[in-house]
Amino acid sequence: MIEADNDIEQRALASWLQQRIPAWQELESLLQSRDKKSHDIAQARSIINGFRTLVSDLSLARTTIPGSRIHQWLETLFLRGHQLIYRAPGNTLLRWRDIFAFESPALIRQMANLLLSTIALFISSILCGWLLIRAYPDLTPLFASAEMINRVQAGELWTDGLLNIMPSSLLSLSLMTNNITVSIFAFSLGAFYGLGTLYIISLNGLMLGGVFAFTGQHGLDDELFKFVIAHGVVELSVICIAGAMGLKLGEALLRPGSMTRQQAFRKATTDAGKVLLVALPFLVLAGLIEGYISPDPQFSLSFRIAVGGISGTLFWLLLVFGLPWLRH
Amino acid sequence: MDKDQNNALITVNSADAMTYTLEIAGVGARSYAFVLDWHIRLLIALLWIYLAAFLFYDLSVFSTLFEEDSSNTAAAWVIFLPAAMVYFFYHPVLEIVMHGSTPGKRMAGVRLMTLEGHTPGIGSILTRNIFRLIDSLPGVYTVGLIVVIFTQNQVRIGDIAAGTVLIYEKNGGKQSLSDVARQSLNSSLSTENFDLLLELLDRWQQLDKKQRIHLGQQFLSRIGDELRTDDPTRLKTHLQQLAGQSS
Repeated sequence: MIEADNDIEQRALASWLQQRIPAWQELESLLQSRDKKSHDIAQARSIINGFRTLVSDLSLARTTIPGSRIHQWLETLFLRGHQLIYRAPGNTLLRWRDIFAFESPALIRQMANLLLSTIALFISSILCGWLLIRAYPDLTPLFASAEMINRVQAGELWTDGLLNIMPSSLLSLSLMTNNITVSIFAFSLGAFYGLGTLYIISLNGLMLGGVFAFTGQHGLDDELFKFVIAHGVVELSVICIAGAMGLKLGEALLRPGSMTRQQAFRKATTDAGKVLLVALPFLVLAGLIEGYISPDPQFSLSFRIAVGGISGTLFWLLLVFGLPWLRH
Repeated sequence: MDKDQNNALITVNSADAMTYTLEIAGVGARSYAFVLDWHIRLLIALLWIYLAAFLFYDLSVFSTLFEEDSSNTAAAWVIFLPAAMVYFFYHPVLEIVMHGSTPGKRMAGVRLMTLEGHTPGIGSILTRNIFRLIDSLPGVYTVGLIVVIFTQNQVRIGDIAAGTVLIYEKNGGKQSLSDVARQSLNSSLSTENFDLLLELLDRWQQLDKKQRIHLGQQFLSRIGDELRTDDPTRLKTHLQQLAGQSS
């Protein structure tokens, strides 16, 4: 009796499989060809219809032959179909255009308070560093290497003759790498409840103020300003923005609101990622200026101030207002 | 998305009112994949360093490369920059190109997936790679490993930020549908026994005569079957019939 039942079940399964296999095979081959970015609407419609049927077949397989190889195979096919049909629209260039033009500026305006706080923290740290070294010059080794100190004491900046040691291209590349690393650290260390970001922003401000105070004691602060001004506006702006984004991560962890901490952290990262996507490429521009203009003594102070002013203005205009003429 | 803590599974609800489960890859599989990838990118980077020095310069260039001599700057550029790029951009680039996988992950049988059950996009992949800076602190991925051990989905900080999770690849699609259907129709074995039988038949050629008979008979007794023979060819034919394969 049991054998007869098994036989009936096996025959029912065989009949079902014979009926359904061509449809599954067709869906499988459609999913494979669709992976290669075909734009055939009829094909897309066939995939959706095939997927609907598959969902019903999978339901049946889950209840009648759970754990079987057919069931496993249908689960895999379902997963592939689901990923293809419900994935986000894939036009990366359009997506990036929207981020540059609208989304990032909107986020920057929303985070204006956080950004201003970060800039205030950075400026305060510069002042603290400056006052600290003015009052206690012995602390200079905290902010400057022995070689830097020796050269300043000898009456020249460590940046003098930089182009004799390294060509502009290589110098730009190494500066870009360094600045991008600092910015990414300032952002990502915000994951430690914002404390890492506070440390990076404060440390960089203290160093900048301290080094200016030290060079001022040897009458070289004008020279240092001349070196920094062309690239510094954009570079320091990006670091402040990365810091503000890091503090946003910290805030999401400390005050997640109605979301869970993980959800708030994820949302903060997504928002911050959009802003950094716009801001970080400007470090390439800052690196090029720092490699080609800043160390070259033939550029006058007024030219450097103009370069710093124009690049900084363009940067902040793009960051705050985006590209409004692209609005639909 | 629901989570099954005991079996480290994520259950994703699809828009079709269907649910499906993904098995989360734990710290072992994750580390295994990372170590494989680390070897691959290190070997490629080292290979480039020696190949570039050999092809474009001379191997003696290494002895003068780190001197303060601007004539060697170009050599340092050509030799080390591509190697550094391979080493540092290996993960983000390959994860984007290979849709959430890398050669190491593929070998370890794992891949990245978003919490919604999709292949991660470029933004998610870049985000999870930026956070490597934190996860790798203070070296050898200590922060990342600790976070993986203590999080429900066994993810590092980069994955939390990007909303991704490392899962085991489902391998049900590796066999063709006609094979699966034929096996299902012609075999009454359970899935577990069937997998065991397929593995035995796959490894048949690598086994010597004694092992073939021993393992074959062991399998038959496991499923309550019997075939009294010392002929491995006859035994194989019988096993193939059980697997629904033509001999």
